[in-house]
Amino acid sequence: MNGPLVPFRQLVLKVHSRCDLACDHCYVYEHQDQSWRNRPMVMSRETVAWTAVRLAEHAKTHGLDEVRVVLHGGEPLLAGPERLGEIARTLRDALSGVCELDLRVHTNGVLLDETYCRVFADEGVLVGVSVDGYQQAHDRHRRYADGRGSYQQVVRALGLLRRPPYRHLYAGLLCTIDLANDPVAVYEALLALEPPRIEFLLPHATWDHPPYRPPGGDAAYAGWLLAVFRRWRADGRPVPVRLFDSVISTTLGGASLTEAAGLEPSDLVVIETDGTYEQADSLKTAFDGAPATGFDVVHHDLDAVARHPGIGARQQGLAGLCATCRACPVVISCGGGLYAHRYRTGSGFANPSVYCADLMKLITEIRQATWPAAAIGQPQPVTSVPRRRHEMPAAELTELAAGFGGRDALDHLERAQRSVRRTLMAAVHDTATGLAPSVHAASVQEGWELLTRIDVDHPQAVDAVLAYPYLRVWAVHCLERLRDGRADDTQHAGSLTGDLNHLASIAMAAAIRGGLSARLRVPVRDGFAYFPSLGRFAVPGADPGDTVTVESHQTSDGAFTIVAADGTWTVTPAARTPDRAGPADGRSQWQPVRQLSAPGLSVALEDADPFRDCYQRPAMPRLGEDMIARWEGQFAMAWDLIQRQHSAYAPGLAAGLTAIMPLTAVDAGREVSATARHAFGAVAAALPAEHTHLALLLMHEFQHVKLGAVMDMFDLFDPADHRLYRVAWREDPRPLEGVLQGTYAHVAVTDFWRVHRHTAEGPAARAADAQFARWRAATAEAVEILAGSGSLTPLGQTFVEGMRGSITSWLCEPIPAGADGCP
Amino acid sequence: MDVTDREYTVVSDLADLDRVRLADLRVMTDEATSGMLRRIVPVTPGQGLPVAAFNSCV
Repeated sequence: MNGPLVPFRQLVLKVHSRCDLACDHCYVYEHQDQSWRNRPMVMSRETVAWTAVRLAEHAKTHGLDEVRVVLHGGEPLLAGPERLGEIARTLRDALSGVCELDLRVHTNGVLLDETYCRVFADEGVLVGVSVDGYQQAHDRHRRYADGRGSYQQVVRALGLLRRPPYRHLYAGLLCTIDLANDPVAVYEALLALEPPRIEFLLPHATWDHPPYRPPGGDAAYAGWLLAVFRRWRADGRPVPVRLFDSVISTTLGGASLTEAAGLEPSDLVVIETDGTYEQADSLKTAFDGAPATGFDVVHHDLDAVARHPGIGARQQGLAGLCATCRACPVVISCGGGLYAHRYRTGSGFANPSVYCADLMKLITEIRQATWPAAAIGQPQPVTSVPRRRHEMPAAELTELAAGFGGRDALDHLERAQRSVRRTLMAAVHDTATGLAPSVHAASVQEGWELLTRIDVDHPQAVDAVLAYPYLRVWAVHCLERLRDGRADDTQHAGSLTGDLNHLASIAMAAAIRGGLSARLRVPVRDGFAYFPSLGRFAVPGADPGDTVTVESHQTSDGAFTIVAADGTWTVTPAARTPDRAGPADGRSQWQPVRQLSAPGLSVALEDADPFRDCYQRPAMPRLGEDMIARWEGQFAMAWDLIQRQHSAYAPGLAAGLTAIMPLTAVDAGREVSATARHAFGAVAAALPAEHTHLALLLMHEFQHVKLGAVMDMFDLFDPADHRLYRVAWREDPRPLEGVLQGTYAHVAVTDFWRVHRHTAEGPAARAADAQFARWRAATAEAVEILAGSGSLTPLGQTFVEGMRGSITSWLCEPIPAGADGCP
Repeated sequence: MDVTDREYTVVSDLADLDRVRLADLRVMTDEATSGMLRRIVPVTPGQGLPVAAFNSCV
């Protein structure tokens, strides 16, 4: 596999290779791999000691903060309580001061008694137990060699484990599905055992040895699980069920929680009783010897195992799947299913899961049932309305991929953003109106009614306001607060109400822009009534939670009236001072959004919007006239430079850059600039020392704006890739999206210096040569990191190929000796 | 996402709402727009769900 090594965080330690039960569905003894026959029964002290050494050095090398070790078998309790305690101490001693140890044992429960429980309590070992449901279901397979069932012994053990001294050790139950068992009765039986977690397992099977299916039961396992899911959901999800939680998590953009479903790279390795490393235990079901690696703890460290092709094959996410799976709409949740379940003689593991039909049905139904309930806590039916979809000519996407993108490409991105913004607005309204009256903001409904009224006859006025970059920031902020369950948090209820009421300000701004008559209460926030995209009005003597009444008029200049407790004012948006109709006080309360203008480009200099402060550096407060003049001067010169020397970037900037947000500076000589993912069209920057740097910052940051919008439209990479990658421009390793964003930005940075070195003179030219050499090398290297990650979608590969085309064409440009740092 | 060779057009998953009035949008109950919302504001799962990749059957 290409890309960085994925360290192991989970280790399954086979401390005993035999079992006191003879379950007929056990993959260790009853399936294809029979390697247990040649292994020692108990793991030796030497092997345990080597294991501890290997684990500690691995944790140190990779800076792991925690590793999980599962004591396993066979039946691990056959090793005896003393030996298990000894193993636990050996592992803890080795990892002391290195990382935390999450130590567990997984048992059939038959031998679990007070002695074991005391040892586990002393050594901090959590206990998972296998139970298949009610007695008949459990004893269908989990029997002694003489045919006796084991249910009563297991229930006794679980009774002990639930007693106060040991309850904290209870890790959960693992249940293997059998279609002959009643699903709801199984679920209820498991629930009666009060587990902190339940895990359901599909019986291990392959295409060579498919699972039992009743006639016509193509997705019978999905039907079984969905019966449990519906009951579990109706019960209010009383206990985590890992498979269901994983599908919900991945559906909603989170991580997979199990290797049975999802694209997370596997980080697990098995150590057998003889000290040999093996891959996932479940591979025993595929063919004899399938899990083997050929490595052992005495002769090989864990990094060597992590580089084994078999391990790597389970870390490739989307790229590691067959074409059928890669094209599947539920692949993010399914991940091709458990690796072992894909096996077929001849094609190996390059197949969908033998449970493909079940996973498709299960995930589809869970998805439909989950959203939006998970978001707002209220189950609602989800309907499918046929809709047109956004699209983009391939030529424009190619242009963007190369680092550029003209007016047409930006227009396509903007149209998609419009749909996103309208969706977000409607989602805020939908969600807010479902809140408790104590939180629900009355102005939300009034604002929504006005906005939707304007949208009927003057949609361009609505879209003009919604296009303001910080409107999406506001909407996402509100939805995230609601998503995170802070809606009912009384401590935050006041400010949430204030946030939601901003909808009235948005509606009023649309009315003013459209020259329409309207009257609405608008919230006062930090002493100001805000009119997004237009400006803000300082309300004298306003208290938190106050509102003012705003009335717009059918006039060509967009004049509107503000009625507050202390007076009434008429405001003309373009004017710097309102016309006062009440008692005069001479202050200038109207603060319009000011524009930076140059031939062919006019952008807002946003220093007032309440949601603009969404960058890592704080926003500048309202600028004085002297600062405005400095910005105007530098902006005009920077834009002139871009048009003359970097003309390939000018059309995109002219079409898509709508606002510049001043940031506070750091130190003299250190430039500061930023982009926010949700503020399409906006670039934030501290005023640089010279216009050349402003041109560079604008080109750099606008790359992020473009790429963010592309990623809103298209999946370029596998979101389940949580690995971190080293890039030349950061000391800390970066996630894949960060590498992609940085690389795209530095294509433009490289291009800037490539051109600038020919127009600068003297030391500036030499500095530009060095910058060009530095950035083209760093960017070219990052392109290869992306290309080799194995996590790009086909479109992502095309996009990265576009960047590679640009940077490669610049690699052959000569630079003066020494400019690249080499003598 | 898919690529339509005939028109050389890359098609997004995003629903085009250009002709849909705001008042007609029912985001939470509409598959296309709720899917779009998931993409922009992913909903994270509840607390207490540790990441685990290990399945076993003893």
